[in-house]
Formats: sequence, structure tokens, C-alpha cells
Amino acid sequence: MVDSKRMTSKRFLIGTLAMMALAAAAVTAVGDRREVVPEVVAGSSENVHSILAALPIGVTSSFAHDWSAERAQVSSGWLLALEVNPELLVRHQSADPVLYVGDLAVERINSGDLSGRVIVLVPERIDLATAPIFFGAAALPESVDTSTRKLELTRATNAGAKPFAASALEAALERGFGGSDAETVEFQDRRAVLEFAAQWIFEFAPEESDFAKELLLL
Amino acid sequence: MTTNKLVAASLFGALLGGLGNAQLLGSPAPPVEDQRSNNFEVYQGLLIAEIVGRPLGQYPGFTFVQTFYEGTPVSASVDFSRLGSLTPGSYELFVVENRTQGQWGANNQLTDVRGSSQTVSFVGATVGSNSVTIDAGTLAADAGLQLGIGYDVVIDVDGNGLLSTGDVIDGYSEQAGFYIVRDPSEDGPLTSVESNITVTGVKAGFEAENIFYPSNIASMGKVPLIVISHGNGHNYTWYDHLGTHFASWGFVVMSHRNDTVPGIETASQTTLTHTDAFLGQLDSIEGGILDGHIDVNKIMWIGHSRGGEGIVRAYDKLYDGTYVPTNYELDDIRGLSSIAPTIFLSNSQTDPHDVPFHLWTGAADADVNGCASTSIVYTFLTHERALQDRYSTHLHGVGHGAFHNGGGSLVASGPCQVNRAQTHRIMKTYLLPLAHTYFYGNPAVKEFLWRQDEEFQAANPIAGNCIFINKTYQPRTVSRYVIDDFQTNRNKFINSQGGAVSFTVLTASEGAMDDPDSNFTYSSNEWMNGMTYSITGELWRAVVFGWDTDGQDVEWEIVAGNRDLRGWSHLSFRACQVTRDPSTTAVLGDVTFEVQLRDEDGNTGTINIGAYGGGVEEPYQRTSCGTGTGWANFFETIRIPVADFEADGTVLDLSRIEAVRFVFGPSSGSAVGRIGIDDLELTNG
Repeated sequence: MVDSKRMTSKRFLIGTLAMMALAAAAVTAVGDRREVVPEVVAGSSENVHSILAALPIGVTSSFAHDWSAERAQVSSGWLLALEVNPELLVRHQSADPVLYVGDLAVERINSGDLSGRVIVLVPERIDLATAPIFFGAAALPESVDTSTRKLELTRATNAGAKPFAASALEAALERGFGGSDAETVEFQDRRAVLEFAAQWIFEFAPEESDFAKELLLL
Repeated sequence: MTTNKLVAASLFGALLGGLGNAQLLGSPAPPVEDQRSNNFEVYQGLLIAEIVGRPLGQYPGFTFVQTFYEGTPVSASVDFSRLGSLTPGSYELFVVENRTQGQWGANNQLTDVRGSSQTVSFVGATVGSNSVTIDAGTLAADAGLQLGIGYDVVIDVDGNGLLSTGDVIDGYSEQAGFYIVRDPSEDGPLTSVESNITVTGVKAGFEAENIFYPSNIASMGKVPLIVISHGNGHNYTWYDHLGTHFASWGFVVMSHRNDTVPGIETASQTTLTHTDAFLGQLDSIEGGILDGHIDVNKIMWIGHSRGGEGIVRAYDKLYDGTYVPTNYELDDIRGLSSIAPTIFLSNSQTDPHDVPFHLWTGAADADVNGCASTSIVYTFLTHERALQDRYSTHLHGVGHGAFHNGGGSLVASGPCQVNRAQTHRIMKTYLLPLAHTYFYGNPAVKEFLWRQDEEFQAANPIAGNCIFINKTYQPRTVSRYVIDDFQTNRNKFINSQGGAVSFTVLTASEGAMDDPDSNFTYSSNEWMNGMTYSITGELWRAVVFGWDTDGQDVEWEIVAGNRDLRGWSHLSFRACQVTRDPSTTAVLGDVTFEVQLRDEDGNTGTINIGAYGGGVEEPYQRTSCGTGTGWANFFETIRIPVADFEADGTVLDLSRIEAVRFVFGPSSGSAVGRIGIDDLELTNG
């Protein structure tokens, strides 16, 4: 059970990197892309299958959230590992469906289009118990403003999008933090957040291990 | 308008050395830029004329050009009607290494690079009949890291083995008479080094770069920098085909991880910051081997897709001062090349301003596909926004993914697709000359940017019957006279200069080049069908019309005071076929027609645009985006040397030209057709 009142900011020192063994995942051809941008039906939370892990984070040196028009500073939020319809993660040159948590457009750290497993940065400490996770209409994330985000949430909610069940969130926190009684994990800056996210890429999307190594500046 | 006058200069000095040296009295130096529209000028007792070129199968019979691929034949000819004092007869013709005027002054000995001079017989009545091969493809082209070896050609009229009074020379300036150029798609003479590095000072998560440089960079001076910004879902390591190639020719290339997923603002920011970071950390990159070897004043940005729009946005930020770099300046960006760019942002943001701009488009692109359904894929729009020198290369059968080297899908839709290897060779063929144009203004490579591919090919051309390369070429930092660009005087009966325009062609319509609906389906009242060069609020205009019988025409008046065309090198315009129109689909293939100049006495000179080896290309035969077959209209530039209109003694007074006329119909070219015309102008570019 995620209880935001019980979350305290406590410095969590990242120890040695716990790199999971790379699974022998099936990998499609490098550079293979589907050519048609899928049309997203309003309230397509059915395209968001599961929440695999969740970690509440704090950032000492805040950074701009480039995935919104306001480019608000990120000083706290969530890291989430999600399993979604991979078709909606394929990156096209024209606008792609935007992934939302509640009324927040989230940063997708890895591609995820091969496995459907994507690590996302949620730029605020939103209540996951009340925020549905869904894909909205295709847009450039940097152009998505407050009114657009609220509209997308309204559309999704009206179409039946619901937050994940408490049990699913508890399991995600268990896996992400190591317990459902999660405390905020404090990171120095964006780079530190990405280095942690790289671990999750190794774990959840091992076919993107090269990218994870790059995040670690290896 | 400027006329072709020899610029005044001080007395130059006599020619030295050898017997029988002529004393050439000083007079103004000829301009560096070749403006000899009349095919000859008398200067210092010499007849300076264009002699070198290639024969044509129809009038004007021969055209004078400057650039030849290594291993391809070179011809020469004379047109007695335009060469004043030269009379029919046999002469010794010399091909010599290019010398500047000063070098000729120091040494006027004629030493033929072929080993011996060639006896030529110029006795024909036409320039076509006088055409002789002066080299079958043996002339040297290896200029090290430079492109092009220059040669001058001399007709030794007095037969004394010296350049002397009365001789005819093609050359005698900084610019050679002609150039032999290595195939730019071949790798250069240097070994390239590739390395993956990271830099600091850029957005976390985007520090990676893939760099290329000559292995002997430590012994080189300062070389230009080329920065590559990839597209969405692409990878910075996917441009090694360009990196290796440019490094082999002496450039340094940096391809960076690009923040494209949020959008164009973030993509542009990574271009800007990576350029800054790379230049600022040269003392530590690769152990400092590049430090002191980058010419920071010579930077070129290449971007693909969202990266292609990103580099333009980046330039706009520099221009507007919203990004102030530490290690370079606005003027250091010498040019851009956008590959299939998106158009998300407005013209106040994705704005090339006055930087030289080049555009790549692939007609089979299945991502930035060019359909009329959304302006985001109106790839041509950024080109229209460019205010100064601008060029484009449009490729049939090329998909979005063909431009990079990341493998996988070509992201292509349509018939007769071009593979990656072919596409990359095309890219190298044009990007290297483009870089030389941006960085050096190299005259040897200018013709790569505009000569039609049908007649200008390497000795070992790219194999494949799906290769169709179409170019626009609009240098604007040269002197030019716009007859009609359809932007001013928005009345189809009045051209940009206020002169009259008349039509006997069918349904002539002038307007914004913006398809009126969201597809290319033919409709008789959609005059701008297939046009994707303009959007609401950005009204780039052209005229479209059709023909179905002989003699139908369009005529533009040249207003009084501007009728002396002798100072102009080319009449230029861009033309496109209108997609899916019945007049276009009636006969698949290039469209040709006649271009005519008429002087004030009613005399005319007429040239078929197909004489030079190509016409106006058929739209790429791709379906979807509505019903029918044919993809978006694309322009290509047609350039006709003004002097060619009076070839072979054609009675025409180029000093008093009152009209330019396009004539259509089976006697003039294609029996039927429907085309768009834009940017009709006289140019010295």
C-alpha cells in the first residue's frame, strides 16, 4: 500500500551496481521500424499492461522536464518500469502517442519498442493510487501543455481508464524499492537518476543493454 | 542587374620568356566569377572564350560546361558566329595546366599535358559540327584533398607555341577553363579513424558522440568540422558511411546522440551544445590529437528527419541570440543539409534565415512521407524558408531509412526502391561537393549541384534503373534578375518586375503551392494538387498550367531598362509536373518544351529544354495519399546558358530582349502536360 504521508526524504546511498544477468531475449533487427503511427483510442489504458516496478525519487540538483511545454524543474517524482504495447513506443519522425501518468507526460528513458518494457521518469510525486497510466494522442511531448494534459486525462478517465490496483502498486514498490513501505530515494542529479535507470534497463529490457551501458558512460 | 564588364585594374605587365612573346598591355582584370555569357571577351589581345563542353543531339548542338568526371570524355568546339575574329581552319589546340593571369604572365609557354598538342579542324558552320574530343578520359583528376584539377585550353591561332595576341583561351583566370574531378562518392586519400567518446556539458543521457578524423590529423593544419544530428528512433552511430567518407577527404566529423523524442527544441539544443562541447574539449578528446586542428570557422551541420529540422531550429536560435555558444559563432556555421526533415515548428522557429541550405528528400519516404495529409511532412517547406543560397536533391525510390546506415527497414513505400548502398553513394556524390561549396566556394564542384543526372554521370555510374536524381539550384548571393517569382504582383498577368505575362496555355493559375485538401487525388478544380511547398500563413507561390496542342505558350515581358541580357550567364527556372493530372499521366516520362527569347525586332532564339539531356521529371509513381498514381510534385531547376540562344549565328540581339516565352505542344516537345513554374530569373550563379 502506497501511503504518501509515510514517505520521508531520506538519503539512500546507491551501493554497488547490481547488474542482472542479461536474458537471452529475442531481438528484432536493428533499425527495424514499423511505418505507421498507431492511432490511439482515447482512454487506451488497455495499452498499458502492467507496472513492473516503482521507485519514489528525489533529486538534489533539479533539472528541467523537457517532456512538457512548461519545462518544469524536477526535484521529485517516480521511476516506473512499465509493460505496454510496444507498437506505441516505436519512434517515428511524425508525432507519436504520448504516455501519461495522471495529468503528467512522462519521460521515456529507453525505447522499449522491442519488448514493450519502458522505464519512465514521472516528474512529480503524483499519487499512483489515483492516477491512471495511459497513452494519449500523438504529439510532440515538448509541446504538451497543462491544458492538453488535463484534457487527455479527462478523455482517458471518461473512456474508463483506471489506476493500477493497490495490489499491483504494492508489488511494483516491492520490486522497485524492496518494500511497499517505500521511502524516497534521493539522487544527486539527473545523471545519477539515469545511472539507476540503467540497472532497470538491464533487468527489464535487456535487449537494450548497449543503451544502458551508454547511460553508465561505459 | 550588373553587366558583364571587365573590372578595372592596374597595368598587369608583359608576358615573359620565350620567343615571340606578345606584349599584352594592362587593362582591367577579368572577374573571378565566370560571367562570360556572350561566350567570348577580348582581353589583353586574347580571345577569352568558352571552348570546352559536350556535344548535344539537337540545337544548340554543343553546350559549354566546366566540370567533367574523371575518366569521361572532354570535348571542345567553336561557334564562329560568336567568336569574332577566329576564322575556319586548322589549328593547334593545347590542353595545359590551369594558370592564373599572373602565372600566364610569368610563363606563356604552351605545354600540353597530353604530351603533344592536337591538330583540330574547325571548319563547320555550326558549333555542333565543330565538336572534337580533346580527351577520351585520361586527364588526371587526383588533386589530393582538393576536388578537381583545373585545365586551360588554348587555340594557338598564330601557331607559335605561346599564348599570345590573337590566341583563344578558355581559362586565363583564377577559375580554370575546365576541371576534371574525381568521383566524389569514392573515398579520399586519407585513412579515417572512428571513435566513440563522451563529452561533458550536455544534457545527461546524451553525452555520446561517434567521431571520425583522418589518421594523420596531427600533421595537418586546421580542417572543417561536420556535425551530424540523427532523427527520432535513429542512432548517432548510424552515419559512419558519411563519417568515414568525409574523414578520408580531410574533414572531422562528429555525430552525436540527439534528444529528439521530446521534439525539435530539445533536438536543436543537443546540436548546439554538442557542437560547443566538442570544440571546447578538444584538448582532452582522443588524448588531444584534434586540438589545434579544427577550423572553427568552418562548420557544417547535417541533420536527418527530426534532426534535420533540429539543425535549422538550432541555427535560428543562434541567429536570434537565444543560444549564445562559447566556442563558436553564428558565422562559423557555413551551411546546413537537412535530410527528409520534419516541419513541426513555424517559420519563426524552423528558419534557416540566410545560411546556405540544402534539402534531401526521398519520394518513397514512408515516415516523413510528403503526403498532403499533414504539414508536418511538408519536407520542402524548410527549403522555401531559406533566404539565401539554397539547393535540393530529390530522389525517387528512396525511403526514410535508406539515408542512414543502421540497417533494418528502408522505411519506404512505392515502386522501384533504391537500396542503401545506392542511396549512400548518391549522398556522397553530392555532400562532398556541397561541403566544398560551403567551405571553399570551390568552382570545380558547382556543377554537381545542378547539372541533370541524365547527362552528368561518373565513368562508373551508380548501377540501377531506379535511380532518378532531381535537383534545384538557387544561388542567391550572386547577381541575379528575377523575372517572376510569383511573390510580388500577385496577378498572373503581371510579373515580379511589373511586366506583362500572357497565356494561351490551359487553365493557368497562380497561387500558393499548397495542396487544397489532404490528398493527391486528381480534381479538375484543384490547380495546386500535389503541391507541398506552402502552408497557411506561408504563401510560397508559383504558376501552374497545362497544354494539349501545338503553340500554346506563356510569355513574360522583360521590362524596358533590363533587356540587355549579355551580362547574364544563365536563364534559370524551376519546374515540376503536376501529379495525377490526366495531362501528366497521359504519357509517363520527362516533359519537354521550348524556351524562346525574342528581341525587340521580333527575332527569336529557341531551345528545347531536353537538349541538355533531361526534361522535367515525372512524379514518382507511388500510390496512396488519395486515389491515383503519382507522389508529390517536386521542382527541378532548368538552367540554359543565355549565349546558347544565339548559337550558330541565330539572329538575335541579346542586348534588346523583350520577352521570354515557353512554347508547348508536340512540335515543341511533349504533346500534353501540366506543370508548375517558379523562380524564373537571369543569374550569374
